[in-house]
Amino acid sequence: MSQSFSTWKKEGTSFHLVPTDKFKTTTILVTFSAPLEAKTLTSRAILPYIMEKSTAAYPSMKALREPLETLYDAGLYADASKFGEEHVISFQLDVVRGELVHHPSLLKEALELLEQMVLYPDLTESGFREQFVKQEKRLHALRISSLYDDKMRYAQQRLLELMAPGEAVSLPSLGTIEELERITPSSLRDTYRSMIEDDRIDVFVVGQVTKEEMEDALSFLPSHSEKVSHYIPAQKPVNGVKRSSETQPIKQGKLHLGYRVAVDPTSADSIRMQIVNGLFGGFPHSKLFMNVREKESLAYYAASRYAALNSALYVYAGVDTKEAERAEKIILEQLVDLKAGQFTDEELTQTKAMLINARRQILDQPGQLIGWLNGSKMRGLTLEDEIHIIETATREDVVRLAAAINLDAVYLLRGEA
Amino acid sequence: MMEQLTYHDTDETVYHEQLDNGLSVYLLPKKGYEKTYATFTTRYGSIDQRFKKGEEWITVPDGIAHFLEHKMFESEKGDVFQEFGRLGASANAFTSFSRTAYLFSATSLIEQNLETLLDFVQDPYFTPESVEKEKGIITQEIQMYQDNPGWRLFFGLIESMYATHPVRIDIAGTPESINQITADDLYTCYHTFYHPSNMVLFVVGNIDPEETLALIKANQAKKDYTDRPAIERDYGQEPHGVHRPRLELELDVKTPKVLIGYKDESVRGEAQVRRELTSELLLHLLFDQTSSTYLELYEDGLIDDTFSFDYSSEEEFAFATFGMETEDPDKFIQAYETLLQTRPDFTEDEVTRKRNMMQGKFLRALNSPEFIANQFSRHALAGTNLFTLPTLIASITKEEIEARFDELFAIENRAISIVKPYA
Repeated sequence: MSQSFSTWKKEGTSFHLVPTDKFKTTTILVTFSAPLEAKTLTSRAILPYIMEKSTAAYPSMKALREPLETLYDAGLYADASKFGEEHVISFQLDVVRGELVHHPSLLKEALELLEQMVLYPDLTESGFREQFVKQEKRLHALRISSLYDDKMRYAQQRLLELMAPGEAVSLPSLGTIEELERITPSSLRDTYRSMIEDDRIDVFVVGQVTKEEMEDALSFLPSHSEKVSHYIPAQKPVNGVKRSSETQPIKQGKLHLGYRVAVDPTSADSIRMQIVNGLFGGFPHSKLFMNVREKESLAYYAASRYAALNSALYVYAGVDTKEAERAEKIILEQLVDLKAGQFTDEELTQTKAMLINARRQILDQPGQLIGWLNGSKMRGLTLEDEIHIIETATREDVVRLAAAINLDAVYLLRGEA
Repeated sequence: MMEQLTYHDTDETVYHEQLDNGLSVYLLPKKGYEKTYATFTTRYGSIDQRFKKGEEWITVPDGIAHFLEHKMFESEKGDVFQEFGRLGASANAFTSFSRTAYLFSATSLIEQNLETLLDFVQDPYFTPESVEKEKGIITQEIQMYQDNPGWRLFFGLIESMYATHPVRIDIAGTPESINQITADDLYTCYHTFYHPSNMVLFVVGNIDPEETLALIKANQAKKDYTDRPAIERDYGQEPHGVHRPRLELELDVKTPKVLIGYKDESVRGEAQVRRELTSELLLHLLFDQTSSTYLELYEDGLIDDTFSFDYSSEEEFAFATFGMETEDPDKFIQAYETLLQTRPDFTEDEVTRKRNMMQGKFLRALNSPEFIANQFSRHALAGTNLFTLPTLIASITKEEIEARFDELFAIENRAISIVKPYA
């Protein structure tokens, strides 16, 4: 593994570069981060959908998308997401390497469109264009209500609300219908201006690009004073197990458990915690898969996920509602066993090998590389450092860290079809 | 002898050899990649449920190809996932209408992982007890899909388009059909469809082609595959036109979803690849944000970000689909019926732009070893070549696309599927 990375700051913007010629593409991601707040979330969630549809110089979807198609399907999209206690609006450009299609200026031409999208949105005197805002509000309402149709996502959202009612981390990422109704063309313009003026900016590039080329290509970004990060939520103690359930006319019940994890997400222990999660429910050899699925035939999926940033661990399983109680009992027992050190050396070695394999594979996908760079910047560790931490972790580490996992909430979506 | 094929327009080289036992091996070294991804694919999927066993035609329970895929992971020594886990690899498998693929991805111990893949797929082991236990797991998998509106919408459409062709059967079967499956049934299907001559092995990533081929050859030489039985399959006689023009289903959803399908004729070989690409170009010309009608449809709420389209084709069937989430499915259906009555005038510029777009889309996809292995295997089993796509795309004319419009959008080939909230 010999991939080099570099990170530096210039005029308040953080640059992250992975120079490589192994991909057919160059990928660029520009992110704007602000504190996650209920009052701005919905407006920031809809803004990228509007900004990616037109710009001042390309004032329709057709006008904007035509040059992108000609540029060999250059991808140019805006998106919004939650990252701990921050809200992130991102603009992504990925474009085929010019020499593959005998078009050397391809990247330069595509960057011009990225600049148009970020700096010169389609504004009139009264804000974003009325007709687009109206259409997008209708569509956004549809997106919000469609969450109900995806039962796994729906159950997870209910679990988050149960764990942290009213807190930023449990806000629905698309926002709310109530806030959506208040949005106007001019309020959206204010949201856009605040994004440009107040947000922290990060830039990620993966491709055959040098530091100088990267700075030059993105010199259009606004310069401002350095902004601090504030994405890490405070640790919360567990105060008894909260329970909630509801019933819908569906075939399969959804059992979701939320645990609090008392581990600093910026520490090396947060990397070791991936081993605990791996033994518990991260892989097909994990305790959840082996017991809930293979031994008891109770589920098709039963897995766990460690969300380091939220200091939380989630378990989810799709089970026959009649068997939900038994499944929960078995899930709880698996963690008790882990805490008591009841796992074999082979399971430990296997889990480490799988985690290391997954980390090496990150280098083979531009999107994953950017995701890793973004997620790991709070720790300041390299990929090699992370692999070393995993390799040298001991059985004692696992037992010590398993003790930091405490059940906080159980949500059950019952089926009665 | 190993054959070396270099494709300059994609900057990729593929090595190929067909082994003595009939297995087709393809190797694609990917410079600078950490991982190696391998797929071992048989031309056997959910549609192959009626075939010849010896002299006799037999019909096996719905969902058996997928059930067999699950059970292959159990060996006499134990669980195959554990074996891959010990080697630091992640393993998986999937069953489609016409293929079953077993795969792993790993960044180390590639030789051992490759041997493990070949050995477990070539060593079936089923007991009545383990077959019974799997039924609970797969029943939950089926129930999960039953609650998935997108899946129900799609299968509602397929069931409506096809009257007799087994593509209309859900890949996983039903709780009732899988309940009938026995260990003997699994052995019958295995011995019919898992002969190396019916399979393709594709390895892409951080590999040396000579060494990798030597390892595969040595592994295969140890196994006894002398006979090479012909496989006879029966898909029935599918009548022309659709089985049922419209199907509505009530589910626990907030927003209605509509999917329209046009059943197409399927041809063989490269002609089918050309037809598939021409159809894709046509759908892009009609429905992309750059099409002449998009803005008007968008303003009327008849197209938006939830709109999607697709063209699917296998050797035995082909169809185009498009649909979206909408409060008013009937308004949507009416609008598209009118829209597709008259072919729009495409310009040469538009067609050139779409060809560029398709070329770029293909090149971008080549970043993914998964895409290369899965798609190359699909083509190889159909006797075509994935890497001819750039040349084919460049050669498709405006007239061909227009002819496709006239062929595809006939009302007797149209079926509609709707998922809506409980009344």
